[in-house]
Amino acid sequence: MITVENVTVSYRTGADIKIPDVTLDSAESLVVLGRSGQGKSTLIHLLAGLITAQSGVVSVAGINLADLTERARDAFRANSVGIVFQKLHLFLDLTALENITFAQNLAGNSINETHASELLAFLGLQKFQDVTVARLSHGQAQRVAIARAIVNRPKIILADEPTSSLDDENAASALKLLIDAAKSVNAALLVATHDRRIVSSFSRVQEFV
Amino acid sequence: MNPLGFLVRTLKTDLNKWIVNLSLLAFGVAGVVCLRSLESQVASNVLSDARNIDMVAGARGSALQIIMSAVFQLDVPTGNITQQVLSDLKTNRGVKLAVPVSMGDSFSGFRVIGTTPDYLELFPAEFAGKDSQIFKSAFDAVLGAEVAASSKLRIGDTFVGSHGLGNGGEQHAQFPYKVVGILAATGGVVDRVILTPLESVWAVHEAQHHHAENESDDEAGGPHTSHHHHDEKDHDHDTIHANDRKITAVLIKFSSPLSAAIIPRMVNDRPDGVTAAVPAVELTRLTALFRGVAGLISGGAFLLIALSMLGFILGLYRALRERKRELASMRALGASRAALFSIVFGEGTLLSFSGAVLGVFLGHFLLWIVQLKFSLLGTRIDAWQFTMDDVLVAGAALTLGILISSLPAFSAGRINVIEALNEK
Repeated sequence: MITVENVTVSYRTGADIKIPDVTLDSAESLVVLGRSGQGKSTLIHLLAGLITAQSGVVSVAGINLADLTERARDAFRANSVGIVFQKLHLFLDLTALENITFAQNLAGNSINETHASELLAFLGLQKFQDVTVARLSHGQAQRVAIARAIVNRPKIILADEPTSSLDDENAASALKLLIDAAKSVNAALLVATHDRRIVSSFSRVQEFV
Repeated sequence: MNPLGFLVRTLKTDLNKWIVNLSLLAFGVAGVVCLRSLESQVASNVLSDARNIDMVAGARGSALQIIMSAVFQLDVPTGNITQQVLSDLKTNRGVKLAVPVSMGDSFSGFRVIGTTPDYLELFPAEFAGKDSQIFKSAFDAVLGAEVAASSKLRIGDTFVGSHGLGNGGEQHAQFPYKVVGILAATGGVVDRVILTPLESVWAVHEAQHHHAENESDDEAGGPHTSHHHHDEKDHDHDTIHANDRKITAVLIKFSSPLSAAIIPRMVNDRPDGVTAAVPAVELTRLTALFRGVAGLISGGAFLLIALSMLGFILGLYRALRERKRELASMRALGASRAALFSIVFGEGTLLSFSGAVLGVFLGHFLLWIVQLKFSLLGTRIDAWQFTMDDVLVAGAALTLGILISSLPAFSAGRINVIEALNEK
C-alpha cells in the first residue's frame, strides 16, 4: 500500500533530510514516533504529495508520486489522501457541514450533503452541522477535521500530532474517532506524533531516530 | 459549498475592510458618469435648441448674452432694437427666415415672448390636442408644455402677466391673455415659454409707459396740468408708437452658407447699435468652457478611481496575507493552483464589478440631484437615462480592477503550502 524507500528531501535552506524507510499495508494503522526534526511531518507531506523527494521512492497504492504531474498530484491528494493537521486548518467562517462539502467540491466530486451530514452524525456532531466552525470547541472542531479527512473515501489517512494538545481523556477519545473513521472507509492510517500515550492503539509502531 | 460560495462568504465577512475601497471606486465612477452624462445631455439639448438659428441680431452688447436671452430665455436682453433692423433683414436675399422676439413680461416665472408664428419654424413643436392653434390676435397665448403642466391652464383659460422677466413684478391686470394653444413637450426651450403676437407685448408696455408718464405729470403738476398739454403729448406718443415700436432681437436663418460670412459683418456695421451674435461660435466657446471645467472635475474623479485601484491591490494583498493559511488548506485538500488564482481573482473582479455598477447608479443619482438644484442652460436633464457611455466607464473601471486583481491572484497560485500551513 505505502512504500517509502531511500528517500532524501532537500529544503530551501540547503539542508537535506534522510527519511527512514516506511511500509504500510491497507487497513493497517501505523504510529511514527520521534522528536522534532526527525522527519515525521516531512513524511506526511511526502505521502500527501505536497512535496517531492530529491531521491528514492514514495509510492502509494502502487503509484510512484514522482511520476505524477503537479495537477495529477493535486487530484491524487484530493481523492486518495485524507489529512488531519495539528492546527486543523478548517475554514472558520464556514459551518461544519460546509467544511465537509467544500472538501468534496475541491476534490472535484459532486456535493453530497446527505453523506456529509451522516459523517458528522457518525462523529457525534449532528446538532452542530450548521454552526460555524469558529464557534465550535477544539474537540468539536477536531471531529469536523476528521469528517473532512474521510469524506472523499481516501485510501490513506495521515494525521500530524492529532493529540499533542489534548488531555488524556480527550486524546483517547480523539484517537478512537480517528481509528474508527479510518476503519469506516477502509483506509490505512498513519499518525506522526511525539505523544507516546497513544502508542497502544496502533497495529504497528515505528520510531524515527 | 463551492469556491464561489466561499468567495461570497469571505467577502461578506470582510465587507467592513472593503467598504472604503468600494466607496472610492463607486464615487470615482459616479463622478465620471455624472459629468459625461451631463456634458452630453446639455450639449445635445443646447445644440438642438439652437440648430435652426444661424444668427441673432440684438442691441449692442455681449453676443453670448444676446443668445442666452433671445434663444435660451435665460439671461436678460442687452436692450431693444428698432423694427427697421427686422425689415432690413427680412428683405435681405441671404436671409431665409427672420423672426422677431420681444420680451419684458412673465407669468409664474415663465417668459412671455411677443413674436410671429414663424417662431415655431425655428423651435419646432407639435400642438398638444386638436383644439390647440397658433395665436391670431393680440393677447392670444400659446403655452409651452412645461408652462401648461405647471400652471394647469387649459385652452380658453385666461391669465395675467406680470412686469419683468422674473417673479414678483407688477401685474398687468387690465391685459389678460387667453390660452389658444398648448404645445407638446420637446425637451427644449420652447417648453418653458408663452408665445403671443408682438402686438400684445407692445400694448402692455405702451400702456405701462403711458401710466408712468401720467403719474410723473401728476406729481409735477397734478390736476392743474392742462388738457391741451396732455393731448399734445398723446399725439406725440402715437406718432412714436406707430413708427418706432421696438423689439428685443431678431432670430435669423440664412438661405445659404455664404450668408454667414456676409450678414453678421453687415449687421455689426450698422450705425444704430446692433450686434450680430452667431450661436455656432458662441456655443462652441461655451461648451469648450464647460468641457474644461468638466474635464477638471473628471480628472478628480479619475484620481479617485486610481486611488481606489491602489486600495484594491493593497486590500487584495492584505486579504491574501490574512487568508494564506486557508488558501494553503485548500491546496492540501486538492485544489489546484488555478483554483486559488480563480478565488483571489474572482474576489477582485467581484469587488470591481460591484464598485463600478454602484458607481453608475450613484452617478445618475448625483445627476438627479444636480438637475433638481441647478438650471443648466434651461435644458431638461433626464437623470435616469442610461447610455453606452455608462457601460464604457464601468467597463474601464472593471478592466482596471481585473488587471490589478491578477497580480495578487498569481501570488495566491504560487503559495508555498507547507510554509503557509506552518505559519504561526
